[in-house]
Amino acid sequence: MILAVVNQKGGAGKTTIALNLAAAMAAQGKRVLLIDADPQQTAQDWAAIRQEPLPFQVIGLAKPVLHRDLPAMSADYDSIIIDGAPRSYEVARSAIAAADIVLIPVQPSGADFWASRETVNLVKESHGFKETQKSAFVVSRRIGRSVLSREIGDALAEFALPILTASTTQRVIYADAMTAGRTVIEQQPDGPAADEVRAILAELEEVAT
Amino acid sequence: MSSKRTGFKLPARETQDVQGWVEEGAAPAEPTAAPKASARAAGGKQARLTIDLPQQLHARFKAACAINQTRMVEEVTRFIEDWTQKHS
Repeated sequence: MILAVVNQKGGAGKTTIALNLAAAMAAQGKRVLLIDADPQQTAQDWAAIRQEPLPFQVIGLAKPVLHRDLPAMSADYDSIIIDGAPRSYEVARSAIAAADIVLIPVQPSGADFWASRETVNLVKESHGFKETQKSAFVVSRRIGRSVLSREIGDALAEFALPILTASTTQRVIYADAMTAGRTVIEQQPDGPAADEVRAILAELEEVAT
Repeated sequence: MSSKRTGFKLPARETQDVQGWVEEGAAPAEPTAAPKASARAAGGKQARLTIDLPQQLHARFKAACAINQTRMVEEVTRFIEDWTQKHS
């Protein structure tokens, strides 16, 4: 399965979600490859500062060849996760075209909501090429019971793509884990953040079938 | 023999289409740059208007603007221009 985590807006939570989902899959014993398609190379930096052995492989490939090259690589892995590039349309289209499932993280903020339209357009165009392709929004960095967090779901519904009920919440542990070259799955396996990530994964598996 | 060739050709053509889309798919115009520039150009010095709206109405307005690829400020400005012209 190839999962692309994309949003044309930077800071939407792509890398955090991609890394933690990869860790959750690896914890299930799956062979996971994480493709860092972001020229900022955050996922590669994360891998570089990590002290322990990597629970999954991380490769940087911020070029529009993902749709061409990844299908052949997918035979060697249970899952390939693409951490998408913001802004670069060519790389984003390539990542989306490569994917079986496209996951679009959106923060409950006006700026994220506005920017998500462009990403949705790309995903809908791609569905024209790949009829079996699935896609979904995931709300990222939800802030408690704020009004915005409640409203973002209604607003996103207008785009007519599925919205996962699982979401990530604004929690210090995500940043702490990232800074330490770890994931929330390892930092606090029984903590609420790890539960959030596993819930997203479980829903993605449902979407995939 | 010939049917085998067709079998090879079809996926190749499909890949070509995807390839074309990846390389050349029309990128939407930058969503914020243009309206900002035009708003600035229109009035010279800017003044700020702040209003309180019911939450639901605000959310609906925001969503409708996004769906129509416009900005709240553009629509409000347009309304104010139209209304002012009619009533002055």
